[in-house]
Amino acid sequence: MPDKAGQPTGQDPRELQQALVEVSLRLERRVRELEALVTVTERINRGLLLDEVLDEIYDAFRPIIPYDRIGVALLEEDDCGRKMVRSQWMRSDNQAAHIGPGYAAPLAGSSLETILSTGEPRIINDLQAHLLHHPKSRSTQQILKDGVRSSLTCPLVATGRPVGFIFFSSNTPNTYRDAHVATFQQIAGQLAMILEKSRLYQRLMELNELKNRFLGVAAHDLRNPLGVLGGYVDLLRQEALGPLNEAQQEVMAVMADVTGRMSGLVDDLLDVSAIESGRLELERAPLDLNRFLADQAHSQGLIAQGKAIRIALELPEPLPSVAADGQRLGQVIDNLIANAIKFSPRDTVITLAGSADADWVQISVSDQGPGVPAEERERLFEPFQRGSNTPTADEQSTGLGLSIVQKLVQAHGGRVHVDEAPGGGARFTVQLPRDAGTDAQPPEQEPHA
Amino acid sequence: MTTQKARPDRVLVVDDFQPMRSLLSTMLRQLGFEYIDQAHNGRSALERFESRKQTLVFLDISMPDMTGLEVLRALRGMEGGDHAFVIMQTGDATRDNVLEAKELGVGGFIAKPYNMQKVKELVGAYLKRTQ
Repeated sequence: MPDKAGQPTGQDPRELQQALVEVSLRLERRVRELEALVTVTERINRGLLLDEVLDEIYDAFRPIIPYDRIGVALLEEDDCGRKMVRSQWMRSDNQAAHIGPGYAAPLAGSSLETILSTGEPRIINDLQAHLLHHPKSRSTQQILKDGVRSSLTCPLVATGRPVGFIFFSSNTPNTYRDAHVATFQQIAGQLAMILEKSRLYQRLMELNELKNRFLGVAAHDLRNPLGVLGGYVDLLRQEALGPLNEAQQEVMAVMADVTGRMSGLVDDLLDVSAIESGRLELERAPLDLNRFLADQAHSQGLIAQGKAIRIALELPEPLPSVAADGQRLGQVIDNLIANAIKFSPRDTVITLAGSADADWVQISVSDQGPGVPAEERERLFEPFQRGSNTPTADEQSTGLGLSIVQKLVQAHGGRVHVDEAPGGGARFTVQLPRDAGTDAQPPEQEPHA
Repeated sequence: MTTQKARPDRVLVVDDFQPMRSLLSTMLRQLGFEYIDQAHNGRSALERFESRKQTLVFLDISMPDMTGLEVLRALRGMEGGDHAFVIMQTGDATRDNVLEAKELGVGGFIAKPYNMQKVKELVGAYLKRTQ
């Protein structure tokens, strides 16, 4: 300790001892208060959606501020751009409630506007007296009807921007003290941030669902006309409707290519929409992976021939069967091999390999292309993300293939990742849980002492 | 491809999207069918079947008002309806839809987009049965 603190004061040691006890009690109180505040912020930060956060608030504040009800109102703009205060949520021990969620009033000219501009919470400890001074205040009339007698109104300001208000109300007059305001002020900023974050998150979820619905409808309405177009192009190319000259054949070939690409994109979009809104139905059945992978290597091998690429199948040991949707898993392997072909130089080899351990079956697709830079690997599976590499034969991509792969693998209870193949190419590995029904390991025996 | 010899069989094409009916009818004409009726919904499909008793029916499963399955169920209860060779278009069908269609007895399933090869295969199955 520095000299000054240890200098004798000339006072009675007993007085000194008492002062120390007081300081220690005060510190203890302060610690308890801080702990309570931390608990409050932890609890309300648990929820992601606004409703979850609000539901935590009612119980969380109990140890630090007295109340019989809490309400939260958020600021929003109406159609004319006016700032409105809209009651978002209210929880009460009282039965009746006249100002529940949905109640909205303009901010301008209200007493709340003053609270917001000063940033200072307002205590009204006698609402009946307050009504005598402000006989026109509708909100005061309403909460008095609900039995509320004193109130603490706090502004919510997130990083300098007003977000709304939190109202603590008590059925007992003279409930609120400056100490409550001081306590609240310590977490006011965090509370406002959490509420704003959860409101934005909730809005994001709503918009995402809207996007999925829109995507599904748009893609569905495009698919039928595209199908007709493709069908007629097919008929014309086969000269079913009369002979075509060379130039016409060339035009038809371009049209077939373009309609094929559009159909591919529409199918991908429909898949994404179905997966994201939980409409994907897997038809799982025991699948013989040895035969399945051989078939995949064969059919994709025909496509790879166009770039003189060979597809090698590597199955060192027979694979166990897995419970999988054969068509969807086929789509996964198709996408991975098509992707490998896209980024492989001519005259190279793509390896389709399978292996198994006690819990997982691994299927990997490795190529001899440039590989995926480490920093791009994680976001490669996000929709519309493309890596820095470019296709070697100017192939097009929707940017949806790998995200569909990941979603389909996850729907099977599996996972997919990318790393570097021996020799420097890209290696995509799909891991699927072993079929519990056919291959379950017996539980480990307890060692006998 | 050359147009084949005319067949006497009557075909019914049911789809709520007119260009799709036209495409399928063109393909069927290429395969030699001359008598092709079209219907844009379930009710008119059943009316057309009532009067003409087509032996081959292409039926879209997702249509407003009456679904393809409802049409198939009604058709099976009509005179001559249990003999019709029905090919079901199941692009958006759920697994349950397909199972129910199988129970009601269908000659085959086809997914959009249609191409000549698929239509030809299914028509082949129909001809094999009727021979």
